[in-house]
Amino acid sequence: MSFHETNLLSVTKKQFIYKLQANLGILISLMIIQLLALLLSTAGVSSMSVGTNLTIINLKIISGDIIIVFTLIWAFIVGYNTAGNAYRLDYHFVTNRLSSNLASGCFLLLTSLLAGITATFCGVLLRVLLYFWRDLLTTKGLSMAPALLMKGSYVTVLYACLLSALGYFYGMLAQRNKALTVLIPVLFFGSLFAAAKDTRAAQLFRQVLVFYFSESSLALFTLKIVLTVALLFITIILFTNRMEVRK
Amino acid sequence: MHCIESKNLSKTFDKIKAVHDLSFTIEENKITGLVGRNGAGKTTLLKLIAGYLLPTTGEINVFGRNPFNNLQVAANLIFIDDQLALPENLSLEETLAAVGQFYPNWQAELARALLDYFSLQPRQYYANLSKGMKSSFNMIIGIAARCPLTIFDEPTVGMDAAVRKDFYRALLKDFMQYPRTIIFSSHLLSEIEELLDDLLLIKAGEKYLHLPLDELRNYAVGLTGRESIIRKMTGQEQVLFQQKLGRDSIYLVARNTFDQQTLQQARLQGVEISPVATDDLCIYLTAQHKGGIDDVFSRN
Amino acid sequence: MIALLPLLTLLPAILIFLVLGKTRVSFRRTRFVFTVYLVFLLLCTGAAFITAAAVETESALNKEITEIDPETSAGEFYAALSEGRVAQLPEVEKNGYWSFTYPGQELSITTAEGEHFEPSIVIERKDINDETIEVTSYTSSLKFKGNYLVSPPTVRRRGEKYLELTNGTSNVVTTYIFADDWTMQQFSADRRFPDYHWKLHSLLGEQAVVIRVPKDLQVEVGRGFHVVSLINSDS
Repeated sequence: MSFHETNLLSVTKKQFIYKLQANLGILISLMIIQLLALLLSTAGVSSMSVGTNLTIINLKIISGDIIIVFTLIWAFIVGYNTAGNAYRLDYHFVTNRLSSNLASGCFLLLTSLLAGITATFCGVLLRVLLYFWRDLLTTKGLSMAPALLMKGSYVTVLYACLLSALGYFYGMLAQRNKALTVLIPVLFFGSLFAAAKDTRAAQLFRQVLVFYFSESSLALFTLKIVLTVALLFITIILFTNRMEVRK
Repeated sequence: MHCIESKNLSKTFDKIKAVHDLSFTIEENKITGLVGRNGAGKTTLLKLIAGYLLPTTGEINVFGRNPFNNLQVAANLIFIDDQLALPENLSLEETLAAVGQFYPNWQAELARALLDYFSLQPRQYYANLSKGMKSSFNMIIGIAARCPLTIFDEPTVGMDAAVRKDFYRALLKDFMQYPRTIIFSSHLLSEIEELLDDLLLIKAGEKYLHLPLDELRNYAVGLTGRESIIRKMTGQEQVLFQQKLGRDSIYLVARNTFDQQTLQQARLQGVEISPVATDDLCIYLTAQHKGGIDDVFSRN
Repeated sequence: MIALLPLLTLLPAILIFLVLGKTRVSFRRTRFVFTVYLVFLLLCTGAAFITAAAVETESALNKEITEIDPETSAGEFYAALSEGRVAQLPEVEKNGYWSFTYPGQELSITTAEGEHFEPSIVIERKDINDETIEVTSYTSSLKFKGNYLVSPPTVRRRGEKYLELTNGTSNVVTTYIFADDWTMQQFSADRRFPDYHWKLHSLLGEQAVVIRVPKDLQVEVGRGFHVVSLINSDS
């Protein structure tokens, strides 16, 4: 009987491939969600009107914003589900908590990559669709320079990583304590409503949003995202390491 | 070399001692049966061995290491029970390939051949299988993985008798080709008896006995005959089970501490001496009452 | 609007949960479908580039929008108008012409009751008394879908002495423009949401009506007009 020595890297790799195979279906849901968002976007993301007494121009503004938002929500949910799966299913095969978390992280990285790129290019699809389907005042913005597409993809990928990591974190917390499953959404949506009012909590919430969304330097933004994601994962790794397997 | 070594192992859930002060060793390359009543702590013990649970006190070593959260141990161990969660979107053959990559000793052709033999379609989906077929598939994985430590926890749930017999045979044959340490927990002791080298009997979370199977067969003896004679022969501590057969006669199971002479004498006095089936023996050993369920009905 | 936001985020969340939960697609088909999707998106991007390249060279529309400077074009228009040379401006087109025989001595120019006539008017005296009044309407509005954004006015004779000018029909035009995704805008200062408001207004251009009257005709302009100039006149 031979006892096999193994190492963290090879196990993590195997787990990553396994997760990829077992969860491939989420890519279909990504596609569906993006096409749905595309459909919703054809009514215009926002609109403005301009005119005189004689003529009014109703302008509907088309952009890929809705597609991106839907994709980010998808990324969050995928993160949440991955945490649930990692906790409930990984232990059947070769794993320890660390390799499970690392493999999940790599998996989420890959899904974020795909999500970010497809979201941006789905926006192109949206514009092409509208070009052939509606009369446009101008075709400016129909074709975006490759550099811009890449930049948009890159940024969306980073946001997706952030959302996935948050979802994963939330999912792991929920495995630890079922009560949190309810508590956190209540807090979150509650604070959204509170954000309309000018309370301290709302201020804090707004500051957090500004931290990410108003960053205008790409390098700094990358740094912020990377640090946040790393922090989330390190926290998860530390506190799941002594968790037993529950049925 | 001990494959598994346990010292004063205890596991408590919410003040209930599932496993209490358990000490034993399991040698490598033997098939050990794990038996006990429902709730005796068998599954808890197996999960402690597999590193799924953390002991409350005491220690457990698998391959000389603590199995909890341990990558080296996990790479050489497989735990098959009826809770095996497999991906929903992969067909059976795709699942085998996906699972097989974890195990360096994985036997793909053997798995495929077993799949065919047990009439499982490679393109089927696990979720569509009946309970028995799922158990079959789980066992195929357990056998084909050829892990140095293979644990089966009631793996034959839902299987019919013919399929079970085939699996025992398959397990034994593969074991002979490629020996490994196997722990097999089952209620159907009579069926798996031939498979086992050793038996570990757990009662109320504690080790009751741990013996090779041939010793177990001679552990106790069944005496049928007149009550007065049998009572004289046996001390109260020896009695494992007794059952009134008629006005005067009883069937009594006692520990076999008799020498040949005593037994011969008993035969001459009309006492029938019979071996005790191991599964019956285990029932008697783990019983709460010496009289069995009949006592409930003969309270007067 | 704030209240709608959580609702909007919940809807796709619910949808995703439903889709992820119920259906089970086989591994091979999943791979296939998603690959097709990726290829499709890529082809679309190619199509977008080709289309945009083909269109940009041809479309005067695109050029105009990017090159309009709202302030200067309005100024030029009115300068030209007061100097009588508006017809010569390159972006100005004639979008209406009326000619009336008018033997009378006096003319009253009116518009509909209580309304303000949008185009500016210029009254130009001819050198001769030919008893004809010519009215020309000019616009620098852009054409969209074959029609001018601003409809031409109607000019009618009413009764003996009146020339009635009324505003054209009102138009409501609904159209679409593209803006960059927020992820792109966040990091490019120069691609922040373009200031279309100004530019769009200038697309409507300026309107004017030039009325050429016989030399000695007495003209009285009613209320509701914006008179730019009287050319060749004494007063």
